[in-house]
Amino acid sequence: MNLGNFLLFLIGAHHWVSRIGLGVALIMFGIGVYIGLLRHGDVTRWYRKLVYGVAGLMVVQALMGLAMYLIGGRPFEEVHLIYGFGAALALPFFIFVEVTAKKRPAMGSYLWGFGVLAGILLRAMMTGAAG
Amino acid sequence: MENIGLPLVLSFVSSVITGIFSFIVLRRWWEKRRPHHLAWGLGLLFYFVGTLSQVILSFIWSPLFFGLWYWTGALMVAAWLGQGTLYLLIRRGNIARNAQMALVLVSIMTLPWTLFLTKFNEAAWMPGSDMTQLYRDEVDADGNVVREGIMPGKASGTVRFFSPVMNTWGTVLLVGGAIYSAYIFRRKNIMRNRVVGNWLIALGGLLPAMGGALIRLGDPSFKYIGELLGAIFIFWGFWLATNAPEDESPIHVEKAV
Repeated sequence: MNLGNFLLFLIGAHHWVSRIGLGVALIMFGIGVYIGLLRHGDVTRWYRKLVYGVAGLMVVQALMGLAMYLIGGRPFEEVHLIYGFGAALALPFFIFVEVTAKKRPAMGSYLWGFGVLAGILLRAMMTGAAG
Repeated sequence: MENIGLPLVLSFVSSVITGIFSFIVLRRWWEKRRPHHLAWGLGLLFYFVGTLSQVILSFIWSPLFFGLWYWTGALMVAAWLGQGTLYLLIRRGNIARNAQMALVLVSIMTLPWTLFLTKFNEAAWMPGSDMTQLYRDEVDADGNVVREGIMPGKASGTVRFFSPVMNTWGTVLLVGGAIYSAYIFRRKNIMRNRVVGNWLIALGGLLPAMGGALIRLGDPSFKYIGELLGAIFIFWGFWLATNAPEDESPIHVEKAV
């Protein structure tokens, strides 16, 4: 596979991971609302594992973006780089609040986290590719 | 030397005072590890960087200091001061900690955006000028651009978009916090120092934000006097709010998610 084909592969993967990431963030937000606000429950083990999975996916997404940039690909607007940086950092900050929280339940942290992540991903999609 | 006037002297005094205040508040945080000390200390540190940048920009053009002037003054100061107030007012769950994380995230994202991805129009800079009058386009009554500013003309899609968001958030917390604590105090008759302290912080946070209105009062020096008084009120407020007698219980709001 030459660099041109690799770049095309990365563009496609980056495109789809962003859409999947936004969908998953919204679903996780909805589950968080159900557990935290409707049932007044705390973060469950499987929910936390899924959060770590989404955070990992965002890091992979950022690394794909970095690889594309190094190969020579450029986003539609430069500020896309800032949104990508923000998407990779968003969840770890709120994971930190949740795992170190003395006050329980602490599902609110992930409501903030996925709300912020969804907003950043939306802006990232609007600035990533032309058209 | 012709650049040295009363505004510059007041800016210099403000930067020295805020530098000393931020050091005192951050040292207090280092000793006691209370999150509101950290938020207020950072707010004052950004205040210091903003006023120091204004002093430097009176003499030389520097994209780094112009970026820091905008990032601290337009985006950070009010929001971080408001965050300190939020820590004192809302003890419920982890709301204040989560808000701080959102603020840290916005701070980290907007710093490189301002410094590296925003194009500054160096030609609009003039020595000895107030940056608040130069940073954006000057338009006439019909909306025509009379003079181009240092920053891009449109706020949409640029880092300028965050300025009203961050300032509204910070101001709502500062002023709303002061009003709310006054209301709680009247009802429960507790924590008088904290209420007065919050009022002073709110006043101190508002004075620099009213720069344009102060200039319209007739003399540009009012803006710089406002900045100086703002720094003094914030520190005075901090001192009162954090030196409440130990036996008084803090304001509590009920339980959390």
